[in-house]
Amino acid sequence: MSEHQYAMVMDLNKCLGCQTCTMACKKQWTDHDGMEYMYWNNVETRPGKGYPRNWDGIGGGFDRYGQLAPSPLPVAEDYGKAWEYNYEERIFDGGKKSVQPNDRKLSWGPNWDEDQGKLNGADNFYFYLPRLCNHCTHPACVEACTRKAIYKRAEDGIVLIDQDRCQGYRHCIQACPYKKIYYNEVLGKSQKCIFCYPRLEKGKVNACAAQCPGRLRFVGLLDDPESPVHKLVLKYKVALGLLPERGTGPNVYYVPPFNPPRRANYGKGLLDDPRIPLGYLKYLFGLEVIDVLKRLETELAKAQSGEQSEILQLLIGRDAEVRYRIVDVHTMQPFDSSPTHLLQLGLIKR
Amino acid sequence: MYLRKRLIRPFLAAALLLAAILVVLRPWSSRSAVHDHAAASGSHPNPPPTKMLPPATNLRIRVGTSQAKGEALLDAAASAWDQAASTAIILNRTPRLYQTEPVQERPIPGCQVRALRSGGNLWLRLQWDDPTKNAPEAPPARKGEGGELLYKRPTGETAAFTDAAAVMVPDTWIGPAFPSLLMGDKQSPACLYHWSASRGARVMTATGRATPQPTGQTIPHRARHENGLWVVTLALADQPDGYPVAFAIWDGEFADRDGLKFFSVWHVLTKKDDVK
Repeated sequence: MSEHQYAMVMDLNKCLGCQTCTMACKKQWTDHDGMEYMYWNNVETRPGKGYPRNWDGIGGGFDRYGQLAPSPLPVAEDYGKAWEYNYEERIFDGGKKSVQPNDRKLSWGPNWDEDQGKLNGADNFYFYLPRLCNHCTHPACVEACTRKAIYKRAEDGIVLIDQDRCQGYRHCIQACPYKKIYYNEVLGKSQKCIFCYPRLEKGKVNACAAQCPGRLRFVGLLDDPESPVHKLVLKYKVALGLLPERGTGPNVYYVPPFNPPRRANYGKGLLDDPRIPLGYLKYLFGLEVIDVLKRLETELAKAQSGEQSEILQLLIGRDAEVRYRIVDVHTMQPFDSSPTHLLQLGLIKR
Repeated sequence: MYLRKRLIRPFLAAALLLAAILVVLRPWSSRSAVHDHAAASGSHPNPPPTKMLPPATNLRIRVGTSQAKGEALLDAAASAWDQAASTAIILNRTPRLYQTEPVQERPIPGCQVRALRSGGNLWLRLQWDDPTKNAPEAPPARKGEGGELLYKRPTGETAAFTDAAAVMVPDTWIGPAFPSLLMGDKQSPACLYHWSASRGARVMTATGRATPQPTGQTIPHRARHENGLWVVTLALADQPDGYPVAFAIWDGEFADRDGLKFFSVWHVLTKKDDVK
């Protein structure tokens, strides 16, 4: 257990599926050799196969006896190999073919099944699920690493891979139930989301959160009563971790999606005839999701009747100050943004 | 009649008690008789060894001497290797890492080692069975379309593992006990010469399991995979006779890496002529 724990809450009712977070992360961290296929942050359509393909169906995490239950290793085709397009042929050489990927044998890639979803009776349903490393409380990757290259930072709970110790054995990838560790075949090392710790240490929020136009991400310390994540997860209890039965204690939480009821059921409650089958939400977020949805429905009713809902006000999260509380973990106070301090951090020049 | 019964009963009871005592004591008396016999005749059921030997000194790698130029010995087909004695190495399989993993039934590969001294190096020629060559490498980088460096490198096989082999010798050894077979220990660090079909041969040091650290050094080596065999030649820093050496191999086809490997116990380097 770490002294403090950084966490993120994402309100899935606000996600646009625009992939701005994905690209923010890509440009910030995975724009290097051997990382072409990596998306430390990705947004996938649910229900769907996700990235890597069928990540949630192959295993990982701990079994019911607390034993590590590693899964098979996803192959490169499950992630989708990086490809390029025939731009040169089409744009510069006067070719008549439309712009297409050069590799015609492509069968999968990140966001491959975007917006497909599923049918619930005659009604289509889907929602977007942004995913990153969950910086788990009991990380299976840490337990699986025979090199002791993966560690959980005591001061803020962020899980990191020591790139000097890592030998690319990939036990961690097999152990992670979320398949959020990737192998860099150029370096022969495993790599993963670092929760933007260099940004947090300078008082800046994660790149994915900073760029999110839907303003659905909330960031802070779970044990800081002032932080929005503490309020949403522990005080109001409206956010849940993904696949909780895998036993790793994820620290990325989701406010579950509550689509309106199915057609011809206008005016009915969210749980009376839900468009998103509750069984599917239970599968993703555990049995507690029903209580969370009831809580949210009550808050909605409260707001609709003209009362003030603290929870909904927080979830609207118009301003960055509401959504993020980045503190110095040693003092638990917001970062000093005085010129002297910024100078010390090298963020500004004299 | 009554009187006779009263007289006989104590006798019967005493006789039964005596018989029971005899039955109980009999095995002890026979055992001690055997023991006495052995002691008298000078033999022992488990005689203690007459000479204390360090472990596995009967497992020897016979090291020849060669006048061949060092580089020539990298060629596994060089005639100098014909003069070197071949030792069959008995390999063992490490257990699986997790109880939740399925057990793999795999044959133990045959492994042969030859050793030569030349030019201040210990040259080893390792040969082992491996029907499939596994040497994954990242595809070469490419320039992006239109000259822009937007696109760097196609993705290769992120789930593939490499064939590999390693030779372990003591890094610093004061003897007489051999260093731990689990990559040395704090008192006797191990030096590992690790060859990988993907990344070449490098030197590492270790003071126990999960501690190998690359030193940044590489060593001359050459590898060839033919007819279901890997043949690898390595040039190690010379090791004195009497020093222990151990071997390990990994089969990438079965995702061998890390502790998932075939390994030998310690063998001892011995001058070729000293072996009778």
